[in-house]
Formats: sequence, C-alpha cells, structure tokens
Amino acid sequence: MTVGRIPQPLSRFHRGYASLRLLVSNRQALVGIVILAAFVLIAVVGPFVVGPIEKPGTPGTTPLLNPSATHLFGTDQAGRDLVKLNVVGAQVSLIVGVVASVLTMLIGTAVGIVAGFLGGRWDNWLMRITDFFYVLPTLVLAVVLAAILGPNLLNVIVVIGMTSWPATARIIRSQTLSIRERMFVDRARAYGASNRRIMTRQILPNVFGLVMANTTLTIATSIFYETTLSFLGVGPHETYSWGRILEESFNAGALTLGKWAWFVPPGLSVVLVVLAFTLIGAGFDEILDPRLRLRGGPHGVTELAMAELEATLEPRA
Amino acid sequence: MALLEVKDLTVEFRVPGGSVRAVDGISFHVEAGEAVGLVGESGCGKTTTALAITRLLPENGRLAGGSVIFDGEDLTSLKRGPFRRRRWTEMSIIFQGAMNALNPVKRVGDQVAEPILLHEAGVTRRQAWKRAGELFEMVGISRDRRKEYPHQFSGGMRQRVMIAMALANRPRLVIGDEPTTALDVMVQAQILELLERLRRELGLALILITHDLSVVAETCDRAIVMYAGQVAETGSVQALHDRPLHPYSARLMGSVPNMQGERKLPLGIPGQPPSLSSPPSGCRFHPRCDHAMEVCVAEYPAERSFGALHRVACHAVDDSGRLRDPRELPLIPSARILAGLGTTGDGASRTAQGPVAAGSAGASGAVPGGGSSGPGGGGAVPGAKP
Amino acid sequence: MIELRGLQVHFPLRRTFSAWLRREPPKLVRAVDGVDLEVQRGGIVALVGESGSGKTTTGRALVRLAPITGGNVLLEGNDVTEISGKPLRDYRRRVQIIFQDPYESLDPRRTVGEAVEEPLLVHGLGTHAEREARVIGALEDAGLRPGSAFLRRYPHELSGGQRQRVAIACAMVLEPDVLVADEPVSMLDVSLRSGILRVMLGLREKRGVGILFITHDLSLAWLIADHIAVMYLGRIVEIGPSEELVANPRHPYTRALLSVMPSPDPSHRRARQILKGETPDASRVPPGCRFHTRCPLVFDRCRVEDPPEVEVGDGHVAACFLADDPAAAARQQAVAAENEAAVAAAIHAEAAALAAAVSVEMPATGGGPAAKD
Repeated sequence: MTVGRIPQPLSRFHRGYASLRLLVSNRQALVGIVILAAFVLIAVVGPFVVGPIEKPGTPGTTPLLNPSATHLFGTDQAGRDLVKLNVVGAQVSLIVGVVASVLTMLIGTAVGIVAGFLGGRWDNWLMRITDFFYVLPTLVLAVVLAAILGPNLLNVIVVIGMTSWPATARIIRSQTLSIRERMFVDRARAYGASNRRIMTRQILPNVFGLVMANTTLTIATSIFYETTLSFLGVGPHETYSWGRILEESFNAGALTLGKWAWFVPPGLSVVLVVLAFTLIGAGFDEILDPRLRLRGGPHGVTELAMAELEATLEPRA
Repeated sequence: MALLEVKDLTVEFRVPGGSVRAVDGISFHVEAGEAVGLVGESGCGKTTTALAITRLLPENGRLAGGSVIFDGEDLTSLKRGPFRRRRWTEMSIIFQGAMNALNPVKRVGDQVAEPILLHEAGVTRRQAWKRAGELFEMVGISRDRRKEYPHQFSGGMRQRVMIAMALANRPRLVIGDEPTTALDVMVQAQILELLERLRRELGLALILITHDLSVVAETCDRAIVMYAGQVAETGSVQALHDRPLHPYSARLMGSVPNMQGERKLPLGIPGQPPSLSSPPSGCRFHPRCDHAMEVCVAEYPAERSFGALHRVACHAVDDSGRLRDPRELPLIPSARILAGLGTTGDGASRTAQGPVAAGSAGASGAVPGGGSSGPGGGGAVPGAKP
Repeated sequence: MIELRGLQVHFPLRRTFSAWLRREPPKLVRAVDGVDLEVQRGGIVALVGESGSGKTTTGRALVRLAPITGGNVLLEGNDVTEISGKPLRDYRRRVQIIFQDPYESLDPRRTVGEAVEEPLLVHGLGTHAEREARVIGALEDAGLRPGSAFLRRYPHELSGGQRQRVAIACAMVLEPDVLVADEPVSMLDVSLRSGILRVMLGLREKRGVGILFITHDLSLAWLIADHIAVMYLGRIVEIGPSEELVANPRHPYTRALLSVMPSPDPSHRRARQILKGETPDASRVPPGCRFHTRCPLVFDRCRVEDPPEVEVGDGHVAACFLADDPAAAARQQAVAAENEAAVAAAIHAEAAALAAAVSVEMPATGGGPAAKD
C-alpha cells in the first residue's frame, strides 16, 4: 500500500523540535544561543563554583588588588573578589531581564490585542492609557519610581515592566488590526467562536512570532535599564548586578586608576547578552512562519495528486 | 509578414535549489491588426510569455532561449536602451491589477501623459496633457477627470485609464494580461467592447491573456492554448470551439457553462496543473488526460498542422485531423478512469504502480501549493515559493 | 427554512470634518435596502448581482456578521434578528458561510485538521476520536480524499481549489442546515470550478443543506440554482425559477446582464446590451426606480415612483412597470443596437481626430505612423 508513504502526523513535540532545529540552523540565532547559553551556565552553576561573596572587612581581604591567579579580575574597594561579583551579577541581570520582559509582554500583548480586536471604546481608552505611559520620560519615571518604591530587585522589575509595555502594546495592536480584517477571523465568528476565543485562538497565534521577537529585544533593553538604574544608584541594593559593579567602579575612579578589570568584564557582559538576545530575536522572526517549517517532504505528493484526481472523478453526466 | 513572431521562447526562473522552466519552447505569431487569445489555467506560463516578450520579467527570471521577432527585428538581441525605446511605442501591456498599477499620489492625467513625454522628444508638457485628454475621451472618460486621483476612480474606470496609458504612444501591439478578470460582468463587457473597437479603429494587434475561453471567443480571431509552459493547440476560435483537437482544449472548452446549450454542470478538468519544477514526462497533460496512452507518458508529441492555422501537439489526434475516441485507444489506467471506462487489470488503482505514480517522481505533478497558487506573474511559477 | 423579510443593512458614513461643521446629517450607505428571500431545505437559491449590489452584505447579514438595521431573519419561523449569546451560537451552528477568497479564509498557521476541527471545539462537540472522524468525513465530502492525508497539511501547501474545499469542509463539519456560499469559485480557474460546484450539489443531495449561492456570474447561478434572485443596488429586482428567469427575463437589468454573458461559441455573437456607466453609490440611491439612471427603457414614471413587484409567472416576480409588457424586450434590444451604432460613430470620430493629432505632432519617429498606415 502506498498509504504507508503518506506523511505521518507530526506531534506537537515534533513540531516544536522542528522549530528549534530551524532556529539552530539559522546562523545568527545560533551565535546568539551559544553566547546566551554560556551566560546562563555561568549564572546557574557559577555561584557554586566560585563560592560566596566575602563580607566587607572579612579578614584576609585586600581592596583594589590587580588581577592575579587567585583573583582573576582583582578585587574591589571593599576587597571582594570581582569574579564572584560578576557571576552573581549575571544571575541578577538575567533574572531582571527575563522577568521584566515577561511582565512587559503580558501587559503589552493583552492590551494590544484587546484594543486592536475589540476596537471602539476599548481601543480609545486603552490607547490613551498607553499613550500616557508612552510619552512619560521613561528613565526619569524609572528613577523616581525606584526611589519611591525602594531600590530592591522586585521593584526594579516592576519599574522596568511598567515603563516598557506601551511600545509592545502599540506594535501588537497594529498587527492585530491587520489580522482582524483577515477572512479567517470572520469565519471563526461565523461558526460561533466568542471574542475571547478568537483573541486567544486566532489572533494570538498570529501575533506570537512578533511577541517572541519583541520579547527577546525587550530582554535586551531590560538588562540595559537595570544596568542604567544601578549605575545611577537606584538599582537593587540587596544584591550585586553588573550595573552596580559598574557604578561602584565609577565611584571609586577605576578608570583613572587604570583598573580595567573592574569595569570591562561587567560592561562587556552586558553588551554580549544584549547582542545574544537581539540575534535570537531576529532569528525567531524568520522561523515562526509555518511556510518555513518542516514540510511534508517530497513523499506523499504523488498520493495527494492521485487523491485529488480521484476526488474530482464522478460518474460522467 | 507577421507583426510578432515568437520562436522557441524559453523562460527560466531561478528558485531556491534550482531553476524552473516556466515557458518551454513556445512558438506563435501575431499578424498586424489581429486579436489573439493566449489561454490556459493559472501557472501555464501565459503571463510569463507576455512578460518575456515585453522584457518585464522579474529579477529571478531570464530568457533561456528562442527569439522574439517584432516587425522583422529580433528584439532579444537588442540592448536594454534600444529595447526600452521600443516598449510602449511599438508594444504596450495592460496589467490585470489596475488598482495597483496606478500611482495613488499622482493625477491620472499626468500618469497617462508620462509615457508620451518619456518617449517623444520635443513634446511639451501642455501637448502631452492635451493628448492625455484625447486619450481619455477615446476610452470613454470625460477629459475633465484628468485632474483626479486614482482613488476617485472605480475599478472599471481605472482599467480604462490603463488602456489609455497603453495607447499613449500609438503602439501597434497591445498585450492585455487578464484585463477584465477582476471586473464585474457589465464592466467587463464595457472594457472588452472598448478594446475591440479600439483595435478596429486603430488597427491594433491584440494579445489577450485569459483563463476564460468564452472571453477569447467573444473578442479574438485566434487562440493559443497553453499547458504547463508549452503550446497544446492553436487555431481560430471557431475551429477551437467546433472541433478542438487537443483533449486539453476540449476539456477547457467544456469547462465553460454554455447558456445557449443544455443546462448541465460542465465537466471541468480533474486534478491540478502540474508543478513546473518537476513536470510530467512526455506530454505534460497525460496525468489529467482521458486520452493518455503509453506513448504520451514516454515522449512529447510533435506539433502537427491541420489546415492553414490549426496546429496541435497530441498523440491521440489521427492523421486526418480528428481526435480519436478514447475507446479506440490503448489507454493507460488513469486515462481509463478519467474517460469513464472503469478500471482494468492491476495498474488501475492508487495502490499499485499506476502510470500516474510511475511516470516520474512528480509524474502527476499536482503538487499542493503549486499550480494555481495565485493570480498575476507569480502564478506563472508554481513551486517558486520558498 | 430560512427567510429574510424586508432585510435592511444601512451603514452611517463617517462625516467629513467640513460636513460636521456644517451640521449635515451623516450619510447613509443603503447596502441592503429591503430584501425578501427564502431558502428551502435542500434548495439552492442564487443571489446574483454586481459589486455594490449588496449581495455579499445580504449573505453576511444572514449569518449575522453584518449589522441588521431593519427587517427580520427567520429560521424555521423563529426570529433570529436580535438573538445573542447562546442562542446566537446555536444559530451559527446551523447557518454557515464560505467566503470568496480561499487564500484569505484559512489561518496560515493552522493545519487543515486543526482548522476543520476548530468549529467542533467551539461548540464542544464530540470526543477526540469522534471529532477526528467528523473532520475526515467533512474533508472527504468536500472531495479531499483520503481525508486523513490532508489533516497535517498547511494551507500554503494546497492549491486554490483544494483550499476552497477545505473551507467547505470547515463550514460543513458542523452539519449546518443552511450554507451561504459567497462567490465560492470566482477566484478559481474556470477549469476547476465544476469540481467545487459538484461538491456543493453533492452536499445538498446528501445532507439536504439549503444553499444561498452568491455570485456575479449568471451562468453559474443558472447551472446550480433552483431559483435566481437578481439584485441591484440593495434590492432584488427580479426573482424566479432559474430556467424560466434566464429564458424569459422580465426586468431590463436582468436582460442586459444576460446579454453580456460571454459565450464560448464565437458564432453566437449577438447584440450586447451594454449598460452605460456603473452602479451608483449606495449612499446615493436614485429616487423612484433605483435602476432608472441606467435603464434603456426609462420613462417619466420611473423617475418618481418605485415600481411594485409584479408577479409574472409561478414564483417569477419582477420589480418593473414594464414587467408585463411583452414588447419591452424587443424595444430594449432596439435601443441597445441604436446606442451601439452611435457610440461606434463617436469613437470613430475620436480615433480619427487622435490619429490626425498624432501624425501632426510626431512626424516619423522610429517605425512612425507612416509605416502604420
């Protein structure tokens, strides 16, 4: 039986796997993934390898050491090992980046889809609110909010989330507006789908590629924001991040002291992680199109052709 | 001598992973003042042919062989510059999507005047504007509407503007690529009538590209039936109607509802046009043909002439110029099914090595996603999508 | 089965800023302006008209996709014009629609199987296995055999004809009682149309579904429908049994439409009655008979008075003062012939003038006009 050559159904798992394979086969995405994987590894495993950060004033610590075999990046003004600080910083930066972006995406996508799809009064109100947040000077707001709410990790995440969702909402809304006009949305309504179902089952999958691409880019900006806030002294104070290392090195005049190992590693790390997410984001953009996904392959074509041939065969009139 | 002579025209498109031959060695001619229809399903290469003649092929397409002789001059050997000067002054083209072919931010009058200014030295802006007015009246639009913008025009009116534009430099040949497909019946009738009258009054030659044989029957003298990049049959529209020789022409003719005839569903053509990236062996129509024999699978039928203008490429036509009855022929199993003769032997069903499956890897070639994948130029390249 | 009574769909047109300043009332687009129509169980009614006639809006109003501003929709005698919520969902299970564009009406990110299953999920019908069986059944009824081979395909892998079959399967999987088919074949090659029409006839036969077939092509209507309703500018101007209406049209618009249908037989070239101009804007419906601005037989009464519907035969109704006039057809023919001659003469003059102008302005460039003459 030729039926055996008809392509086997692909499970969801297989389709996900196929997407992943495509992502990996995309060169720029691959570079991004490799960089990111390295940093994730550092963030997850690193703290166990390098041990806890020394308390300031711990006996046996010397401030402002130059790089050496025991302290690869040297020590800071309180005598803490900079390798340890950077490792902990990776953790904090990634957490802030991912969690803040997820928050951004949840708010932005929800607002964008509801405003774009329901239109009318919903659209008007939601977009006015969006515009309000959009035109606020983001950094100033972030600084003020961080100052008011207090400089801890959670607050920094909330601040970043609150200030960066309007851009996402507008992008998603405009995409929703164009998808709403597509016939398959009308068709869904015609077979009785509710607004909520259309938004989640028809619109969302079609803006999902955009959401993913946008998320990775937002992660990059979030990490930047966290760094900037920390650098300005309103970042999370209970722990270390790359931004905070940069801030302290700046305050201690590392640049004039020629202590490059103090500020180059965190600075470079920020740039690399941001770059990694940008590359992955661009890769996502390309692969979430099913037209580029795994195909049925050459097999099955002849069968289908014959099937169609037979399908059109009716007793001649 | 013929005004336009196309010889062995071959057009290839570069696609990811190879090239596709969208037009495969077609030959035909158009006399001065004659209206010729170029007919076939989507993806048969009819639009590509027009684009190749006017050298408007998209970036990834190229003329892979053959010649286009216009008024005794081989256009394929011309350089870009000289050719550009001939396009529009000697031959022009009317595209299907009149809505997209007009610039939305320019006055329509200026758009019609543009080719006049471009191609004729020494014509002033005012003269060109005046000529545009005359052209407008000629296609049945008030001269005063020159100052308007495309969005103020309906579909039919825009198509009239396109016709005016095509006639701006008094070409001798106009190619209409599905000029009425997107229009309402009444507007279609208006446009076809306009084209017919202009042709008579101005002595234009017209190539009308369409998938609708009844439109060709209404407006043309002769028709060229194309299938999968090749010419299946050419002849006068009367001959094609009364005595189509190629089974494909016959089927195509039989697809059009005839309100003068009996009220029954037309037969249509089963299956899909083949993918040109892996066309069927032999005669490309054989997987969908109810006259197909072993020889059709094996070799491409030579073109033969019957009468002055009637030419056909089919194995099932006998030497006296008659399409033989399927019952007289040693049909392959798929053809037996199609001819309604039931199945015999083993090769008949889908399960065995039916000739459709055996012909070649893509024998039947009705690749999903190929064929009628879209109107316009792109549709001429099935399988070209990445 | 399903009935439209005086259906109206009017859209207010957004006022321009200056109109708003001048406090003009907003203009009304009278897309559908009083349509009475009935589709029987197992019957096929064709709604024929040009773009702007309101045929598509009528279909969309029938499935409650367009806002109804007047009149009623009745399903088996129950008024469904105002229902919402659960009753509306139930209604939509029984009344389905197929759209014109097979490229647009399928979600590119869904497989065929997912797309056809979706309506069942929406209505919470069946177990997984039952749904799969129904999906495959619907695909096969639509002529995609074997249905299981198409489940995992994406729309972009299918040809136009196959996509339209998928759209039919999507509509039929709920086993509706009424199907609205909005120009289901007009985007397809002529050679592939019969296949789709055959599927629809099969569905009528097998499922007894009533079909409202919306088309601009009278020949398709004639082929497939029991009754044809011809629509012009929001109103049905003539309705009757297909063969009777085509053989003996009583409204001048129907006659004109019929006369311009292209025929595959070149020897059958007859006088075409080409109407001048285009259908007026639905926001400016002419007073009196709405067709009077283009009617070749127009007389004074048409300009002021809306013609009544005249029953001219069994189920054959035309809205024209001359519907009963046996000489009207011949008169219309004569007027058309006269016009044709006049237009030809005018065009001839224009062409001559242009030719003269051209030869004066551009003496012999390249092949030149001299060579052309």
